[in-house]
Amino acid sequence: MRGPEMDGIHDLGGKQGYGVIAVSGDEEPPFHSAWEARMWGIAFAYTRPPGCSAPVFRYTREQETPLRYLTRPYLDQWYQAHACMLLGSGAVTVDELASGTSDGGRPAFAGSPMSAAQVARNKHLTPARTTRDDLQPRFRVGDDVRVILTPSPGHTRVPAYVRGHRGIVHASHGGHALDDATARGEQVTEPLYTVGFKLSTLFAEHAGSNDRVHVELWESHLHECV
Amino acid sequence: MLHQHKRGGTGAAGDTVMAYDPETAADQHAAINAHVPSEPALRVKALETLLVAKGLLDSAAVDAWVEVYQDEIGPKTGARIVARAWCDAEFRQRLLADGTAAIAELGLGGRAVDHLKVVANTASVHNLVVCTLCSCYPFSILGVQPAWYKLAAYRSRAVRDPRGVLAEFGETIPPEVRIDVWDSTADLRYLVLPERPAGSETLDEAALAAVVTRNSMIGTQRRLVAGDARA
Repeated sequence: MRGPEMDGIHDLGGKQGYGVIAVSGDEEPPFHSAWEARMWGIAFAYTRPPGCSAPVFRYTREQETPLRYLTRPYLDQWYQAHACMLLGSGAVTVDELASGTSDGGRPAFAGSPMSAAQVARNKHLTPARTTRDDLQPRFRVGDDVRVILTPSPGHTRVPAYVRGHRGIVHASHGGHALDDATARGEQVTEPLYTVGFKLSTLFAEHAGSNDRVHVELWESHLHECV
Repeated sequence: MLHQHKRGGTGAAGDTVMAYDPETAADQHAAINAHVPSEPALRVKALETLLVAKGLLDSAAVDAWVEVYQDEIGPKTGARIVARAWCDAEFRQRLLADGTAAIAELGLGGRAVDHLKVVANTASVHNLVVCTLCSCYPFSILGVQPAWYKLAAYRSRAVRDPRGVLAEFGETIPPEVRIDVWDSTADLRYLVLPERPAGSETLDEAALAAVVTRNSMIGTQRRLVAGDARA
């Protein structure tokens, strides 16, 4: 029996052995093939099943096997994650995904799909912030904090390379929905912080360096440092 | 892998949420992998056809989003923000204080920039943006991520070897310049405000925008050149 997994291949920060970067500049086109462009547009335009939030999407993508995660084209991983979410919601079957033909009716959550006119209206429309300012943050800017060693099982936004490490609160952002909980279908809001870490404390080869890494972490990801 | 359940067992309409059942995760991924067409172009086409048949998608909206990200939203969008900040000190202050509110003054916004944080390069600080856990990016002002931003080499090394990463992009950062890396792990999305290049005093705002490159706004390029042909 498998339990919820959190230490997946996606958690790449600080890992070694992935080689040199395939550098490109502004000459790189947005899409490298027609299907990539279609997948990007589909993801923006289709009516998602209820609850298919960004954290659920990310958690779904994280379940790719390591080999596939590292080798499959990025927008093909979008295909896979959206197909899984649709399958899990009961909106489609594997046979339908294979054939492209619908064997049933419209799912109950189908309304009017986004139109081209709505795209034109919404392309620069910023979603309303859902943050809360009524939570009393436990930490203040400048506080010494330590990252928890064991995030909750399942999806987490605590990267492995900062777990157990000491940092300083750089900024406080008010109450944000905790992605780790959203991925479990729960609604939890906690104060969110930007925490700064010295590279010299994270990685032994950087002794004496002043360079820093900043990571957003929620309150339950942090301890007081005493 | 994903299944529906009713929050708190109330069963009320609208309470259905997606949640995770790891026991079937591998099965669902495997079933899709085993049965859908092996060519990405064919499985994406089948997905589009199916979603249209299910009443979940209008292909004209797909066309429209593709056109927006082919022709309209891209690095040139972000470059307008940078050029305005170079020309208008008060706008720069507002941009650094609340990026989302400031870019709305230019008619800009969209998904993934509702918590936009702009970080400014200075003579003593260089900023570099990454998403180590996925590929978070302020796409409504920078367009589709470059391929390298989404791949393991950049995501793994940006936080561990930022100077080595910058060297591969042709930038040697002097030891007295501190590097600040920003790993986008929550709702904030980062835009680097590069330094205005020397010799650009006579350029107007539109000409300045033409100097700004995508990589300079991610932080993998530090030095911009007035009249740079790379843009």
